[in-house]
Amino acid sequence: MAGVTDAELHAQRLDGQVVLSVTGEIDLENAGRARERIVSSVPSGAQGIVLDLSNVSHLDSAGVRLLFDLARRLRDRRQELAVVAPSHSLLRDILAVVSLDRVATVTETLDEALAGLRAWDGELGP
Amino acid sequence: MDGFAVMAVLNGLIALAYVVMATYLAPRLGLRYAGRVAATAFFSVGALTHVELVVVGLSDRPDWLVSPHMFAIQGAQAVIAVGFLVVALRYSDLRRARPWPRAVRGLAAAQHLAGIGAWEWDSMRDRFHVSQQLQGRWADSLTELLERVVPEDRAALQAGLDAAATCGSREPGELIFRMRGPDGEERMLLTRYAPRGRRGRVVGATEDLTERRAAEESRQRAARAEAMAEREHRIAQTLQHSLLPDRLPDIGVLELAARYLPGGRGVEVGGDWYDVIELPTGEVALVMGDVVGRGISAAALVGKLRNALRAYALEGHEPGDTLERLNALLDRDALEMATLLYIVYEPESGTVRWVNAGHPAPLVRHADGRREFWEDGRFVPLGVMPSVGYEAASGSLEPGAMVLLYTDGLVERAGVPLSTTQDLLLAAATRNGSADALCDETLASMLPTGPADDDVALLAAQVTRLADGPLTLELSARPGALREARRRLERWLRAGDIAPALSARVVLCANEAIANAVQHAYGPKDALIWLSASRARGLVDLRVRDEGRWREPSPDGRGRGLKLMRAFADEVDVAHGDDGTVVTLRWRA
Repeated sequence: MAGVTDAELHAQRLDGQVVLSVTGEIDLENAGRARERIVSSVPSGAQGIVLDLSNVSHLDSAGVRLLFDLARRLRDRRQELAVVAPSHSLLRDILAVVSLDRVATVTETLDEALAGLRAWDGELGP
Repeated sequence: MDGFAVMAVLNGLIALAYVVMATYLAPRLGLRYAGRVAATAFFSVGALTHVELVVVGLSDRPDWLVSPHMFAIQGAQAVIAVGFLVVALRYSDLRRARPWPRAVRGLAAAQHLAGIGAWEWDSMRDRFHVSQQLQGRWADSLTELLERVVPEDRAALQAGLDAAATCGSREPGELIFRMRGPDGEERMLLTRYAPRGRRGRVVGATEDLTERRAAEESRQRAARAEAMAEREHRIAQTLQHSLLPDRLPDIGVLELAARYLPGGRGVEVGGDWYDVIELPTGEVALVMGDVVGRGISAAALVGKLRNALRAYALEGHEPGDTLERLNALLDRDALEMATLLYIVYEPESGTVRWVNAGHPAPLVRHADGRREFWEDGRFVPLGVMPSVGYEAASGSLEPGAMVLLYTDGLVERAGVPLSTTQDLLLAAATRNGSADALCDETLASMLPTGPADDDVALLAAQVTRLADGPLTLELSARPGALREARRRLERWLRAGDIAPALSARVVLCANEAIANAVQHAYGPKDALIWLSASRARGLVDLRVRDEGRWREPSPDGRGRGLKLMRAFADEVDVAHGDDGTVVTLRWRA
């Protein structure tokens, strides 16, 4: 239907970590819904999540706000957020402009994000 | 001492005795001082000269009254005797004999209104005393009553009342039992009862639940039926939605918009459907159909038609041939019938061929504002006769022209001729907006309060304008307008051979400027935002204008939109005035 921005969310476990992959667009119209779906997909027991935005074709300031909100909510639950955004992409540049790296780990690939989370587990793990 | 002197002394003594009795003795002896009736009689010759009547109640026997009498008999010369006599009266006997006082009559009226009757059962004598409400409806004795109670409920009623009469427990009991009324009909009665006193008396109130129970049962039945219908409605709706395209294909040559409005609540899902098919020849097929019938079976027939139509169209059959084959597919014995409008647009020449099987004629709005219905190419609906000879009519659509396909729910009104509603539709399509805007405006003016009972489907297609000129968009100030604006701007930039990396930045910044206006410029009322884009001398210029009031970005992160624009546009200017805000953005292409 016209007038509805579509973003699909796919959750999986990779390497023991929760990976949420978003496909589609995130804008003012659907950011609120997308945030609720992402938050509800994060198991409270997880050390953290990897949010893979490699297949996001549009993300605007409403999407940026979503990412900051998400990072804050996860931090309140002592969970780490790693965001995957491919290099040389507009998305990557957007995240740099708003300094998302102040609240989340921003990586170029999924493998890198998973490795980062493992290291973090090692630091704080049992 | 003469008689008068004796009586005076006696009177004094008696008065003193009352005071002592009322204040000191009565509470200690368990008496309730109730009142004094004094009569003093004088007889000329030796006789009874004085009677005192005192009425006291006994606090542990509330239905008894005790009346001590004191008297003196006087002889000719002196008092012969002073006596004392106690008479005990059964208060309940007295009360029964009296007419009901006002309070009791009020209670009877209240009982009548509430449909409640009161009774008292004397278990010793097996007698019922009943209030007006129960007269003629209740029995005189429990034995008689039980005869009219249905056998399965007898034991419980008897046991309940016996327990109340014998065990002396003060706890009230409650029973529901069924009993034949005087008219022989079975009634359902609720009875609450409690023992009264110690002599095997039980008082109770009885309420007739029959009507209330019946109403409740019929309400429950209705609720169950409604839930079933609701469930079936949901299934049919889900099925039908699965048959409509999730999203319209993004084809460069036509700009598409569609709406589907299910009929009102409680109405079965209708058989309206639409489809857009990109043919291997580069042509685009637009489909709008309406299956006769409702609910799950209609949705199933839509599925059959939709899949078959796609198959025939992709195999390359001509429009007339395609409908002929669909017609053969319908089961006339099962009364399967459908209307269908099938339009094929050829983008190179702008030629359109269409076949109309009994469907409302499409509305065409030309680029110069001329509007018409394409009435040609009209045949009987599918499923009416074995062979029809469907044949396509043809016309053409120039850049900017728009065709609107719809179902009868949009134009059919009880008692209103079709020509009248078609005139309304022509009037609704005057504004030179996008396909999306045409859908919104058409629905707003044709169905301002939503679909009455029938489903409504709309499909609008506008031939994309040539891309060399500037782009102007009029957008409604709603978040839902963002996606559409991005699509159209993207298409314009692609047509202008703007590099993808630059195009992405332009779209992002335009999106931020529009989002800013949507969020901050207007209140909740419906308002508009204008976007214009142009290319000249190696520059891309973009203007986003609103007529609202600018609010400074709040510190909670909403200023990020402006930050992004400054980062991704080569020049940014934000001008606020009384008549609105203009954001100007510029890039070196």
